Amino acid sequence: MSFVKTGKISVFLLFALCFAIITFTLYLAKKREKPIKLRSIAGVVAIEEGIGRSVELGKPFAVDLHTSGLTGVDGVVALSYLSYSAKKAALAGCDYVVGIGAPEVVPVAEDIVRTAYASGPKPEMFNASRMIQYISPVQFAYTGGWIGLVGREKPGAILIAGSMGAEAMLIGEAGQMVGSIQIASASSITNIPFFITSCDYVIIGEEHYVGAAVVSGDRVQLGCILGQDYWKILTLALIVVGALMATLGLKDLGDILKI
Amino acid sequence: MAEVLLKLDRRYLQLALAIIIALPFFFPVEFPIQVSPETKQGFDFIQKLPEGSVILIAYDASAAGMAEVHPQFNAMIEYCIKRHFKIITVSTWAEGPMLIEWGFRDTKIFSRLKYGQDFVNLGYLSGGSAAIMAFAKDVHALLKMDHYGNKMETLPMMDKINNAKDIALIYDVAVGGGFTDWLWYVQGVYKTPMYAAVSAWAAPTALPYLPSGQIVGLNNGLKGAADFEKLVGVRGFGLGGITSLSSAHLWAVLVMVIGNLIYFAGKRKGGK
Amino acid sequence: MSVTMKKYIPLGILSFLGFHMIAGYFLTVPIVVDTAREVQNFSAIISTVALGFGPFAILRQHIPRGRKGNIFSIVLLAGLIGMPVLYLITGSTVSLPYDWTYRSTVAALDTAIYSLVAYSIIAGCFRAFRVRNIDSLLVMGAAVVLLLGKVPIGGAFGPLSDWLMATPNTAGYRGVQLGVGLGLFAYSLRILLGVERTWLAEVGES
Repeated sequence: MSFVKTGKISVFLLFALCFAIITFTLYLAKKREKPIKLRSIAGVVAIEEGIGRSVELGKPFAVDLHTSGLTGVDGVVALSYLSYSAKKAALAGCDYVVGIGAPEVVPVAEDIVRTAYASGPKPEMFNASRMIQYISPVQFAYTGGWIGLVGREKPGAILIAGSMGAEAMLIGEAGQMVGSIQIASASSITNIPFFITSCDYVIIGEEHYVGAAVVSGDRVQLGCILGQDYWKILTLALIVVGALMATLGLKDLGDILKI
Repeated sequence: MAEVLLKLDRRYLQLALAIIIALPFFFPVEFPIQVSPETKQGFDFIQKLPEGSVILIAYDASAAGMAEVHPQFNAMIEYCIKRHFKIITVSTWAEGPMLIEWGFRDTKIFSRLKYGQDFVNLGYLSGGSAAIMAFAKDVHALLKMDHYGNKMETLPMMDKINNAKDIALIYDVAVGGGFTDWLWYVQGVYKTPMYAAVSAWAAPTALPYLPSGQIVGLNNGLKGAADFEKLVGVRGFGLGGITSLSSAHLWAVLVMVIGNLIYFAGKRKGGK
Repeated sequence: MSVTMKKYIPLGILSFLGFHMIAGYFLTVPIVVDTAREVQNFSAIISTVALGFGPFAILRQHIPRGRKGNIFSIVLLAGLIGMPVLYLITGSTVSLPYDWTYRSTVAALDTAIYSLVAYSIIAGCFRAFRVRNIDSLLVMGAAVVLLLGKVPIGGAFGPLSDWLMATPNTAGYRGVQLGVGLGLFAYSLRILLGVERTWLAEVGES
């Protein structure tokens, strides 16, 4: 009797290979003297610019965590961006507002922002009831609340970090109407066109997860990006070989991957 | 003209949109509809299903997206009644059961079919993708009663349904990317055929799964609803709203042209 | 709270359960498969319990505002308390009072906000589709073809619209989705290995 389920052996081997590559590069990154260099992501660099603009205008820096909760990876990624921007805002003495849709994120976000301001030059700036705004877990109820929040606060810059659905255009336009700089980071591919028309910086697709590693400042996480790139090269090679074989009428690769 | 365009407030364009969308409801105009190939493909598949097939209709939507997806739900119910399919309705969204009831009232299903024997409403599946996985693996382990509080043992139809392999088709009515949960955790694991009846926002996400055979058909928003209604032979909001949709699309194209005229007028003025 | 309690125990639970779920997906060992299924059922329960935090968060935020006379907070609290009370009185979500309240408030407001998307799209079309260079001309051309091809009026654009959606759109989508999938996998691995700890409310070094 096989140890691995029939039909999943190839996938298991590929998973094991990917796991090995990424774990190895994590280990390499830890051992290296200097951190791995990645190309800069414009949207990530713009977060600090946005905070600077907010300070100049005397307006808050707003973060939209949206309705993504901790049950999905997108919610956790959004917390990485929240952590980074909260730390930068605290250092700059910038006012800060977070819109949250998932209830379980509220205590985590509050903790992150409180810790960021506590270690900054002006810890007295932190005000939980003003900065942490729980709106609604319902998609369009959240959107209505966020539009109202942006209309009242008129932030100098907005970071859209959570995952969202069809309301992306509304969220983007709300910031456009008040003249905020908007940085959108979303892994949802369908929303890319909406964010490109309404936001100044868009962190697209995979950059969303890479950006989370970049903002963490942790060299071990950057090593993971390297492993990801190696694995991507292997995957692309597999795609090219598979496409060529399929074009020639050879189904062997497909059959091997179905084992 | 250039001066007028340069001073044009975009709210006039938005007001015009509201008027353009509303007018066809007062002055109906019919246009012949070309059924989309993805809807036709799906319909051809369900036409081949034998009588008595169990269709799982998952209503993963909120009231916001009803205009696009509710006609698709109603049309499928009508088709299932016509073809004597067994129906199971379920939802992974909290508002889903309310909308399912709405659809039941629209189609008068309780007076046309026998509850428990021909159709069952399992209500809200709380827990997101974990609940879907558990449901697909063993329905009776996850759910002990239906949406109305009836125990599963009292529903004759559910005797033969234990897991996803006993379902002939999953018809997922979805406004967001929620259909991917059914696709990845049910279709991908148990190979149950899946039909995506989605809003226009989610259609680009669903379309790549069609040529790969992971979904058998796709209804794309209100147009998809109109196509499906035409194929099924019912008239609902899909066919009723298609003229408004056409007018709105035309207006969007005109707005793009107006925007460019303003842009070039501004450039010329700046160049003078 | 000690570091062990705050950091290492949650990390340990996460890593163990995460890898256990992966093992349950791939392996045929009965105890692993059975316990993975039970964990799945438990996570469905935990997700449901997490929903219960919502009302408490709303009460915490809006009761002080309601006391200060904020009418919107008062209406929200009335709805939050009123709907469950209505359900308890009528005993059913299909009863006329409950259904009427849902249709008149939740459904109506939800649909109204969603309908604003159309106005936002018009604003976006007005602002964003400016022909500045060849790239923007292609984008606008694609937008026009797709807008007209999907409706009965633009019948001639139908086949081109279908081709645009089926071929370039699908190709681009798959390319980006591949990257997203890999990024998601790597990020999940970072969480499982305890490298990524933001969910523990740890503020990074930046």
